[in-house]
Amino acid sequence: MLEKLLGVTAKLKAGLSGSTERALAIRTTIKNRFPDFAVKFNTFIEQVNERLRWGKKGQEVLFIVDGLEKTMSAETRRKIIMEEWNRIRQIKANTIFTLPIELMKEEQHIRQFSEIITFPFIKIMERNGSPVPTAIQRFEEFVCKRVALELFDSIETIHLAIQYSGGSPRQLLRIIERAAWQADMQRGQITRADMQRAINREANAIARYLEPEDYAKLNELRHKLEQGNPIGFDRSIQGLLEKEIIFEYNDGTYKRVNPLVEASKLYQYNVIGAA
Amino acid sequence: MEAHFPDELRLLGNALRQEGFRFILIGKNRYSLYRDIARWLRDTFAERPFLELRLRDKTYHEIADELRAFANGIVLIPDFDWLLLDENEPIRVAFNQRRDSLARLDLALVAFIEPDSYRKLPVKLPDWWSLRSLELDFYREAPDEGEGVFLNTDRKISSLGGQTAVGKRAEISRLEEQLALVSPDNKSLLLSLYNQLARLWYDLSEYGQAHQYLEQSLRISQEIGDKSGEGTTLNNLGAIYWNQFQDVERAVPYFWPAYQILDQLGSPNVEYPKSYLTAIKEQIGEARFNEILQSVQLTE
Repeated sequence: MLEKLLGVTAKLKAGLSGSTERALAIRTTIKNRFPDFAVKFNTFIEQVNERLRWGKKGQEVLFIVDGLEKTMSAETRRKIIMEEWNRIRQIKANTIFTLPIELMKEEQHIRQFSEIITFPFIKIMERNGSPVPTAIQRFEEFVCKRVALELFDSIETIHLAIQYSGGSPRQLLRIIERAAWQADMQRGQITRADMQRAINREANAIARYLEPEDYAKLNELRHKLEQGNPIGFDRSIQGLLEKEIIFEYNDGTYKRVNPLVEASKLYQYNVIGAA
Repeated sequence: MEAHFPDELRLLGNALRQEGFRFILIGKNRYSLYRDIARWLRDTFAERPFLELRLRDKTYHEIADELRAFANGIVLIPDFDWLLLDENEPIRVAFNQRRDSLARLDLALVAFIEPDSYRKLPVKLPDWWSLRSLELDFYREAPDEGEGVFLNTDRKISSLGGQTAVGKRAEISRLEEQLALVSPDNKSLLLSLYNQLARLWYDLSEYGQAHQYLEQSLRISQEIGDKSGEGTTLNNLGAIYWNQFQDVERAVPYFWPAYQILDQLGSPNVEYPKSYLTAIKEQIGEARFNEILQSVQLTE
């Protein structure tokens, strides 16, 4: 069956030299003969699944389509998901698409042909400001698996970094790395003061990515959060999520400002000061 | 250098001490800062290999090939802003797509950018932005020796622009507030405000912003037939391309008409575009210069 599948494109490949030309020709052929391609591809996948089960290596193949955000433009990405879904559904295989955040506004439409699961940041603070001990504990373990505990002057120094991570593992590691660069090399330990300096510097660094109009939106968000209202999704929220200015938790309805942004002088001046 | 930028250089040194992938962004307002930081890095890490990688006019493959061939060491990129120009989107897309492959190399990429380019990064290079290791700012008040001359137009320019970067930024905010209130029909006032704003942004070396206001100023000068203003603004636009990127292909198309207009008016300012054109001719050679000039004259 694999030979048959390859047969769909083999002739094309033989006659083409340039990679762009080849890609375009393969795409066109598969697009024009998609039902044929889907039948052959599905048979191929089913055979692979059988082999996996016979060999006791697994049950079924799972495809993970990642990196969609790296395709040429937002419009291309939207077209792949919104206009090609009928073709995608003809492939009978378990597939996970990691969806670029900008397509979340099409959620209602996408739900008609797939299941959407949101993986938000890890909530370390409830809406009422109280900490989430289990999440903090997990983050502590996450740090200790990567950095020797004796490199910190105390566990509280790690907790300070966790608090400002906002539940983003990448942000947590960035804060710790920058604290290490702040540390006195002779002492060989990251102190609370080093961590605080790193947080202050990182806070002001991230605020430089804010556009002037973002402050009005952040002010609005602040009022909604204070009143305990859920925050929906629109274009400006999407922009703030992409720039990691705000983080979302739970099912996506709980959003809060990145604690590093909150600590920045620009936020303090333009949002807290303006309130 | 250490006396002026102790914190920044300590962080930069610590970030580079351990070999491995780094993507460091350095905001600088003067070209001389690039030279000084590069020299400091070469002295501090004398045992590490260095590559000065200029991106301008290169394809993605040429850039990636240079990086892969170098494979290990510190890469200084003086013209990272060039990558952020709108027309370079295909190169940026390729860069974003291959980020993980390039990030596996033991390269420390030290990218120098204009301060106002920071905000473009999450939008234009999101994948690289999310991997950033460190952002540092270096600011020098005094202009570089030989830095291009920015001419004032004949119209009176406010003297309240401040002498420091903070003062100039405060003046910019004030002028932008005024701009929002001006009637679109009041061309004269608009022209004055655009020129003042362009001057202030230019002083802060935020050439992208200066360029934006100069383009507006040029449009109005042409609309109202202000030939002197037009010639001066064309000279200033050329100075931006020359100072920012040493981009002769873009600078000459501004300097040449500036020279023609100011010469026709008998303005003493004609000496500025003239001296720029002479300097460019010396740098790129007469044959190349004539070639560019010919293409400019053809489009006139």
